Amino acid sequence: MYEFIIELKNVSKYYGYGLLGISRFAAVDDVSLGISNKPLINVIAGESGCGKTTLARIILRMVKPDKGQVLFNGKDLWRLNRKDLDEFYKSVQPIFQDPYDSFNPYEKLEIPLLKTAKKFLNGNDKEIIAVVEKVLEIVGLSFDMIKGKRKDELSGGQLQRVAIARALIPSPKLLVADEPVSMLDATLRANILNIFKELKDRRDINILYITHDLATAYYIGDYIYIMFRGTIVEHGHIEKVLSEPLHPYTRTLIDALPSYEKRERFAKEPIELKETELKEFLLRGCKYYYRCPYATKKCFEEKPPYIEASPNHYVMCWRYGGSS
Amino acid sequence: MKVNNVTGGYYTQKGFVNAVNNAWFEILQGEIFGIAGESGCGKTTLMKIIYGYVAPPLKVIKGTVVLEDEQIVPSNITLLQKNVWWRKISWIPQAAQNIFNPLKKIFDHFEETLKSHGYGDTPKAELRELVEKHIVRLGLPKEALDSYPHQLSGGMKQRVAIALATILKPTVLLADEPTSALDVVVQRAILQLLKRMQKDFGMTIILVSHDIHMLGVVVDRMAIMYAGEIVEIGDVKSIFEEPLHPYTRALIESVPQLGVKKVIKGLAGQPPDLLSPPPGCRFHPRCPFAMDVCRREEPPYIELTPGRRVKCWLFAKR
Amino acid sequence: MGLQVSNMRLRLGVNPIPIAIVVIIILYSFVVSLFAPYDPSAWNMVPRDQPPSLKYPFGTTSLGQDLFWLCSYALRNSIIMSLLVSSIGILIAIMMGVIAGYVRGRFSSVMTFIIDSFCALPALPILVLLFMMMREYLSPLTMALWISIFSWSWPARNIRSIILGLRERGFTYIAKFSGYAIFDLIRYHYLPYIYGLVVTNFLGIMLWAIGIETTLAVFGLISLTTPTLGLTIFWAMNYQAIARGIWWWIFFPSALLILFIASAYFVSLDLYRRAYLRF
Repeated sequence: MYEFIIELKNVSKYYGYGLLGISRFAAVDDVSLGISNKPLINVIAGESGCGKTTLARIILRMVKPDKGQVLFNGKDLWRLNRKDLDEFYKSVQPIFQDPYDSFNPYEKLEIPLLKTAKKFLNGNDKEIIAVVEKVLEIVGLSFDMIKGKRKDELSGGQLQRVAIARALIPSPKLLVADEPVSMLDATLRANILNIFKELKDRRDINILYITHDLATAYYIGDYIYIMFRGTIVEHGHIEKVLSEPLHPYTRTLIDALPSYEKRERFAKEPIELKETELKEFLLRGCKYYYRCPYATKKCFEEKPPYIEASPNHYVMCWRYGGSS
Repeated sequence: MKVNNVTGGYYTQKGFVNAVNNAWFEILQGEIFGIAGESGCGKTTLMKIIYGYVAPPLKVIKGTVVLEDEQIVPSNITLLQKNVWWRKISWIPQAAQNIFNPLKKIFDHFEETLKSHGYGDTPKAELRELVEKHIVRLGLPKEALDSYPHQLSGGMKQRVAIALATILKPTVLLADEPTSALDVVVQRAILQLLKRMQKDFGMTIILVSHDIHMLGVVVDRMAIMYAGEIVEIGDVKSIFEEPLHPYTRALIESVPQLGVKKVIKGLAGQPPDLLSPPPGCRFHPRCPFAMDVCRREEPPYIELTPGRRVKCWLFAKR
Repeated sequence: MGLQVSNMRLRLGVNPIPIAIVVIIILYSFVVSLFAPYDPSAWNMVPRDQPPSLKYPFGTTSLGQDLFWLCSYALRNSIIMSLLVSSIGILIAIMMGVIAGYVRGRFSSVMTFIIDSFCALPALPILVLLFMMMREYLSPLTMALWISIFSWSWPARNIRSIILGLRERGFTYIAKFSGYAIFDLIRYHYLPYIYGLVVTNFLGIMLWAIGIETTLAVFGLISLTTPTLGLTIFWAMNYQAIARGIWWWIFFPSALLILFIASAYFVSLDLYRRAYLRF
């Protein structure tokens, strides 16, 4: 078995902007990471527009990178033969941000579950229904609860559970969840996240959890990648990164988490968000230059390398060493 | 502002959806007042009523809403539109980032609003200066005015929408979920913006959200809403340090916080269908402390100290 | 009576009058024509130039044909031909529209270009030219085939836009990950969205085809052996029917044509509404 189920090697994706979209900026800029076979919850965290959704789509083979390679079990994702491609669609499953977009408004909700079961598993009707009932039970629902209902008749939380249930049917090895709880009420998020945690603990499923909320990331995550404007600026074990953040941006993300205790601090320390996103994307050197309190000329001109500040804790910042 | 025993809801084919039941509270001048509650609890309806936007199928069955000495509910919508909206009260609905006309520049939106609210004869240059001053004062870049909506990010659009709503410096600003669908960094910037408006313009702000921790950062006083009813009111310190109503406690504890690794159980069940809410206390099916009386009788409002109210049998003195 | 009709309209959601007219006309053309006592298109079967009477309800023509039987036969042929055109056209439209909307990149641009080019072609002038050149070889079948070439492009365009939008929806990607093959995906997820369009366009193309065929026929650019409404009008004009006072020869075919097309159009409007309300 290959060490990494999904591996990204120097992946970049460019999008056009401006008149006629001729100029290009990198939504994902030279990103390399590997999702190992060990069941873990890997988190990719960053604010909106940092490229994490593009990265998720690249991993899910929905977007083709302009540079670099995406490997699935060691093989190039865009050069797979039919058999391996089927294997990919079985092993990697998505959970999207908007549960209402994941279902067709005309269909009754048990249909996608039954059809997915039929496609991936061989068995008679009774076995298929048993499988569907089992996955619904895992997410805290039952067949009777969803039978005959269309997507508008369920709440966002319930619908997202159905989406997770559907993703579990092919017995995937990796679940790519792109902001799965952002559209749900704050009070419903913990329940859905508990499901993910259980999937990792009890069923050995690897989860890639993409979010902008570090609190929920901390709640279930094991390893975290902090992303800013297309680059990964810090990564490591989540306990370490969130208790001893190295990169200034990580500190910004942690600080921004709202809580009653932070009232005074929020009032006294305003943040500035004046630059438009595009300018930040186009920086040659460190992309955090415009917002960084410690920025120097070197930061503007040269992109810093990854420095292993402590075992398994990497940061992309000139302040921690490295030479040009 | 005073909301006096307002009960209202929607007449639908299936019956009357009682979205707001006996809402009773006051909002002090110059404060930021928060309303916390999950989706479907009626907070948007309450917001519409406070704004005065009561049009069928929404109907207010009883109660009044008074701003200073101006009657907002019941009132005539055309009159409100002419005299009150945008000048005295401004309302930022959910997903305000989508209000912009994709074919017009941002400044054009400001111009249109100003022209229809009494600045019809002002020369364009003067309008421009006014808008620029306002924008810059709120910490936004001037360049945003010359951009088209699609060129701005969601967070920037939201902040511009807030600037647009406050261009005439209203007394009261109603913000409905101003930060949902936005990330925490932009959220912080928006909360900062609201706080600044409170400080610089003396604006009274009513902030509605499902995220109680987000409210805890900026509000002075807060009401907790469940299934159409206000179940607790108090100043922010009391609410967070000593939450009374079981639902308030659940709201605070069920949101993951950094540094908290223990398993959060969250609230079981679903908010009730407001078409036929449960008898007695509407929260009793999900309440871990439900007693017999809770299932039978609607609890009264109990005022523990002035301004600190809770609607729960646990606090009723026999 | 008016109240009953509008009550029925409210209950069924459709206007019963056009449907009734269409049904009557179809019965007339398909069923009645079976009972014709002699070949309606044959000449000199009955006395010529007789005005409408009990014996000859629609009168007779200068060629000695009973107009009543002739019209029913002719209308039947017109409808069959337009059905043929519509079936072929809709099939091509669905195929082209779905492919053009679903594929990406260069292939998609090529397909879109083809569809748009066909949209830009002026159907009538080209058909006039074609039929003029092929007059000897024309048969109802070949005419239907040629006309159908011009019928599919506009519906294909609309189908393409719908599919284009659906392509990027969440459930499309989920279907991919659920193991759906492409045809499965299209059949299950996309067809409900284009159902309404297909139904209305089917009827629409039929009516358009009847119109085109009649126009060509009036110019004489059609098979002279198989009678259609247009051909009947052609002969009437050729024999200067109006000038000679034989008004019924032009009146009845035209009236039937207009009545049929107008009623069918109203029926299609109702169908359009119902198709969308169905879900």
